[in-house]
Amino acid sequence: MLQTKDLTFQYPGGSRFSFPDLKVGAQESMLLLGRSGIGKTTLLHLLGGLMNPTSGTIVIDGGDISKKSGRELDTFRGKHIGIIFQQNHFIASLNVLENILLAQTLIGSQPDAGRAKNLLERLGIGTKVYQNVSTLSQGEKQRVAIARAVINKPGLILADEPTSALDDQNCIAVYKLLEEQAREEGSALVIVTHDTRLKSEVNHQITLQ
Amino acid sequence: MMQFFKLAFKNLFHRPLNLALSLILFALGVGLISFLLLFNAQVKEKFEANLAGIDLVIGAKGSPLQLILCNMYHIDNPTGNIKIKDAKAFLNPRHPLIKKAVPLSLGDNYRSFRIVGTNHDILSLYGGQIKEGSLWKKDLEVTIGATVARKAGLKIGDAFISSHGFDEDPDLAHDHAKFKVSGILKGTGTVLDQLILTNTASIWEMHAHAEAAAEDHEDHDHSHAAADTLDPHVHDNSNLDLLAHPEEQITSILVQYKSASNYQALNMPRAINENTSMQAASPAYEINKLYDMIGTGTETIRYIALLIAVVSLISIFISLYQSMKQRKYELALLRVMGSSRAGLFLLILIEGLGIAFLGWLCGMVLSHVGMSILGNYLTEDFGYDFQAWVLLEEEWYLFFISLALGAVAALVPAWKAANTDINQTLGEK
Repeated sequence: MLQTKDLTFQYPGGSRFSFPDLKVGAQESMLLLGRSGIGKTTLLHLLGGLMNPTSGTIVIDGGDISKKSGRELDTFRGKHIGIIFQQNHFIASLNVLENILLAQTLIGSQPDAGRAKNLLERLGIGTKVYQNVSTLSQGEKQRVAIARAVINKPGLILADEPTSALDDQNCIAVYKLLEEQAREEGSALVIVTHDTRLKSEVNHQITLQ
Repeated sequence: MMQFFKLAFKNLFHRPLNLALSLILFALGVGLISFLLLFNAQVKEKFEANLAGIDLVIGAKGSPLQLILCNMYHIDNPTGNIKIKDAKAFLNPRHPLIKKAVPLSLGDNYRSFRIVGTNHDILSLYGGQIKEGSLWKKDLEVTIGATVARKAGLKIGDAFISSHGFDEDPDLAHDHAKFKVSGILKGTGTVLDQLILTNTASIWEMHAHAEAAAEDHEDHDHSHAAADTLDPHVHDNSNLDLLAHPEEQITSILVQYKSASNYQALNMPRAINENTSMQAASPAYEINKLYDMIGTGTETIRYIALLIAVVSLISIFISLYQSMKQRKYELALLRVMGSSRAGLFLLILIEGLGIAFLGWLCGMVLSHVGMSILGNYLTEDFGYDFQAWVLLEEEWYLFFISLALGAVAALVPAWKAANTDINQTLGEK
């Protein structure tokens, strides 16, 4: 689960952002809406533990990441936060399965190939396990990215504009897929987007002002 | 840690051309240096093993280095022959300064192995011991070195016809007389292994007949003084026997002093060179001169090898640095998935070390295969055996130096990887 309080971020010599308090329980979804430049990416990086807030707290799975830094934060991020980017990148020298298992070995867990294959099966790309990621379509890549984000059963899954490039039909399908995976793994799901088509799908919404 | 090893090697092999270029350069540098180490060490070893405590070589005037190479290492032709009457002082067992004087008479070979007319003292110089049969006693009896026995396939009791000169040539065969193998020596690791030993008179007999035959053939009437007065039978293989034939010739005398630091002994070479028709050469001095000559050549190659090593260092650096730029998203991604800055540093460092390790491995294979090819040539041409498949201590130093070079080349790229700005990199769309 995720809970933030009085979150602010000040870019050095630049703009200052204040964010509303967020609370998302396990197996719940939330939509973070807002136009460009309002601080969506900044909030995503704060929630993802990719940078520390200037003030305020971010509690994920009971741990306050606003107080963590360095190696401690790196490990926490790997274990408790799964991020799906708009542009999904992979390690080019590894195949689909190895890319997913890397998320486990990097936090020092035993790689669980059975679970990874199950996830890929569940996501409908069970036949692509040993392929090079570069041979996959955009849609397939996104599914691999989802599998990689949930493999460690994180408390929080963050998705950055997962649907903006898709048509209406696929937009809803991808959302359903994300929501389903988050529920299966018991994670909180936060979707950061400006895609208004999702408004009708997700009850819990916050629009950044 | 393990996951970084695996990932680093996958990354290296993911760009095979880049890897190949870095490896070829690195392997060339390491290979050349290791080859020089191998070659120098073994040449030195061969030269030193065959110094055999010989203080002086006395022979015909000419190049002193040639005299040494011919009579001690058996890889060059004689400078000529000397008459026994000129050398009788040195063959005299009562000479106050000389402990051993071993006469050598060269001129014949069997399948490129030199036949040496000498006495039994030659064994003590090289630590030779009889393995089978007995030492030569009568004329035309030979005792052969271990390599000769192995390569020419000679056994006790076998007879063979020698040929004139130092290279195998059926046209020059002395077909009037046969040598007979009386004994085989144990291997010593010295030049003795490749020699066929007999008494001095056997060589005289061979060449007296040869000269007489040649003269008959060319229809000269005048007779050869040496051939006429020939009484070559030397019965007990001693220098006193030789002294009884003052008009005969030998090729050289290997001399061991009673005390090498004796003042008079130190003056002996100069006295011989100035006052006689013979020359005396000191093996240690000539071989050091030879090292100096080889040294200039190997030093040049060493500088070339160092240059290649520096170029390969730069190539590894560029290759890694370049891949940093291509892989910045991958690096940011590794951070997102929980890797620390130190982890990224380690990853790139291992990639650098990996290239160095593989380069070292290829270089070692290169140098040892090269040594084994050259060794075959050297064995064919000079009869010396070279070991290609040994690991010198210095080659292990080379291993650590290689790894150090790989680490140095990877340092800046690794530092850059560790400091990848994830927010900025992931913010770029």
